[in-house]
Amino acid sequence: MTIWRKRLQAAAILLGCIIAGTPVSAQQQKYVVGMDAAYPPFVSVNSDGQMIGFEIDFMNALCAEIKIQCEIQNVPYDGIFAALEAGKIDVIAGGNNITDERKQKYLMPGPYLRGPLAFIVPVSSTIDGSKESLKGKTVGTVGGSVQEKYMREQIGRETTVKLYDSMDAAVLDLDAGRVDAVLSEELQALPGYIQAKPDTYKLAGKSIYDPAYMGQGKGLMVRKTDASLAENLQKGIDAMIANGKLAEFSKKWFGKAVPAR
Amino acid sequence: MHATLPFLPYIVGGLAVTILASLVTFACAVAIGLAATLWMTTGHPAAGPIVRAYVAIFRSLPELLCIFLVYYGCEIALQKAAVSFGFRPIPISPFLAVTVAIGVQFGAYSVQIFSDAHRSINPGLFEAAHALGLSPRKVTTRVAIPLILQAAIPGLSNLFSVMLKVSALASVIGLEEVTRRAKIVAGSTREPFAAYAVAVVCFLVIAAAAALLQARLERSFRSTREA
Amino acid sequence: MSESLFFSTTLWFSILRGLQITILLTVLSMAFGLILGTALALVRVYGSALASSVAATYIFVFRGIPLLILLYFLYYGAPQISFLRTGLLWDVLFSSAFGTCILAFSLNNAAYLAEAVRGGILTVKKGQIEAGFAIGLTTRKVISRITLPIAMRNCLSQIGNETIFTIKASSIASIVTVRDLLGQAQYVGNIYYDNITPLLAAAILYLVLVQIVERLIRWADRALKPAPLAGAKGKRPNQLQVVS
Repeated sequence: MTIWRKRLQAAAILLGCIIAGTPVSAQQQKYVVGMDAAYPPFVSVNSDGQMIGFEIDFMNALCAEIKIQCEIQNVPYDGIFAALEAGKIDVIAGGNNITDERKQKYLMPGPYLRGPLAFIVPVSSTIDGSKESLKGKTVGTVGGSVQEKYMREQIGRETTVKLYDSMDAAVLDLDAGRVDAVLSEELQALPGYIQAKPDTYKLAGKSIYDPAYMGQGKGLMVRKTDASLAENLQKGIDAMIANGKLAEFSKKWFGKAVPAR
Repeated sequence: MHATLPFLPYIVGGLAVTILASLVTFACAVAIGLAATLWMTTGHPAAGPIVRAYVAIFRSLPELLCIFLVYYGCEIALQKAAVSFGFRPIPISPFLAVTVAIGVQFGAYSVQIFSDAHRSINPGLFEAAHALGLSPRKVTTRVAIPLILQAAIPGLSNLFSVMLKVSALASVIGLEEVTRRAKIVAGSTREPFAAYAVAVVCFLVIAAAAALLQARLERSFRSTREA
Repeated sequence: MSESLFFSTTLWFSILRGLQITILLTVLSMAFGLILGTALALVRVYGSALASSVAATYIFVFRGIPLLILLYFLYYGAPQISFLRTGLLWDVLFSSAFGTCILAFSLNNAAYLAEAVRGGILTVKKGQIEAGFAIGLTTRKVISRITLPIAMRNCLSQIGNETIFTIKASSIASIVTVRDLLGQAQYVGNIYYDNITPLLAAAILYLVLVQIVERLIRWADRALKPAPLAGAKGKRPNQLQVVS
């Protein structure tokens, strides 16, 4: 019997260790910021496995600005909302665009960055981004994004929309000729594709600044119950716009000072 | 390709998680499957319906949902319990959540494999063991389990190689294994083919190790059978 | 979980559309996979040393490569090879995302099913095969009339497992724009910022699909049941032909 009891105790301790995983620090509240690190120049990883990008610099500076402790975690987009709801993370960052639907569900401090949408096309293409020029064509973009919403609401049914799970996949299909254009965010398209391969791609027509899609800029996402955190973050963002820090970061990562508002 | 080379250690570093997660979940699934199969063979009246329901439910659940439910569901339940019973909530480690979710789920598949294996065994062997005067427990441990395991090897090897790749789903709750890391690198370097090629090599190396083990097991079993 | 989303027509409409893709992809790739897989298993067991090792290599490679990466290479990688971008192969297969999915899933299924069928062949009892030869059947007939039916029956539930894996794995097709049941659910989830509710809805449909697969497997099990011994009340003359 005693042997069994001892064994049981050992098992319980072992189980406790496995379950607990990481110890909880109770002294100071630490906020966990989640983002999916596969979207350069917003956020990606370097060869040491460290997360880098505009969002990382911005979030670190923002947390310092409002004097809170932050830990940035790499969370895949497929689980990011569940992680926020369950309290595993407290803030979603990574370049989410503010839309009315999103504001209904979450508090969205911001905007801290505002860039337009733009079509990436092969240099020889005649597409200029207008509804007429896209008639009968196939456009690729990321599923569930504001770009997709723009395609459905503004371009209409005469253009086929193909949905990818990353911008890279959509552009690979542009290379393969299966799509005629890719609708992307200009901030992502410029350094990643246009400047990297100027002989292959160009931006078609005018950039799209429609307030229903990109016009409200990018914001963070916070649970509605965390109003004071959201308020704090908002104050910090305002301060960083005023002191020029945000402009500095956007120069570093996008090659130009991008307006925050 | 040259942009991906510096990332090589980063991607290969994910192997530790891939191997550990798939081995632990595989062991968990095999244990559950074997236990359930043996329980069924005892002819206990509750065994059949319970095991059948388990298999039906857990083969149907999407793995992703199972992981979410175990990880976030338990977290929320624990938090609520912590509030009402007044203890400090303990966070569940993602690794444990994945082990439970995938292990229990794939246990359902392994029940199928083991009951197939059991059926392929000549019932005369069990009768012979009983006739020799072995106790029921000894019949199970010395005759039934070795024979079932032996007959189940090809099926289990298939299951393991499926689980090896399903471990990629663990990334949704933050375990960075090979596939997730390859994906991150593909996005960061814009060289998806190079990053995924590295991942393929990683998986083929594990598969080679598993295949060697399988061949050895099959050979050793065969020699004992012919002896 | 959000009840309003769970009961919304948007969600159900989307995942039912995805259901068609899941079914089509599973049925086609299982059918191709079973044909190729059985052939591979036979070559692996009965073929010459060279043929057997070629089959073994195929099984090893295609079981080893994650389906996600195989599909990625076939869909996004193939067009980078210029001769693949013209001609019949491009028109029929690589130009369409769905066609490429069928190809990738079939290649993958064939490897897994080959192992399953091989496992089934190995469990066929020596006496059963020897009996076949004893009554004067040729090797080919022993394989087609005795070994394969018994082997198939012995690995049926593995074929069932494989079918269910394929049903679940269809979600991988999302990376090449083909959205199955789960792909649609995740897509709806991303629009409504809810990763879990759409998966619950998908789980219900999976439950139905898995039940259908189980029924089919049970039916096949009965159909492949060997003829009862003489004296038992059997009425399966077609099965008795095996011995005639």
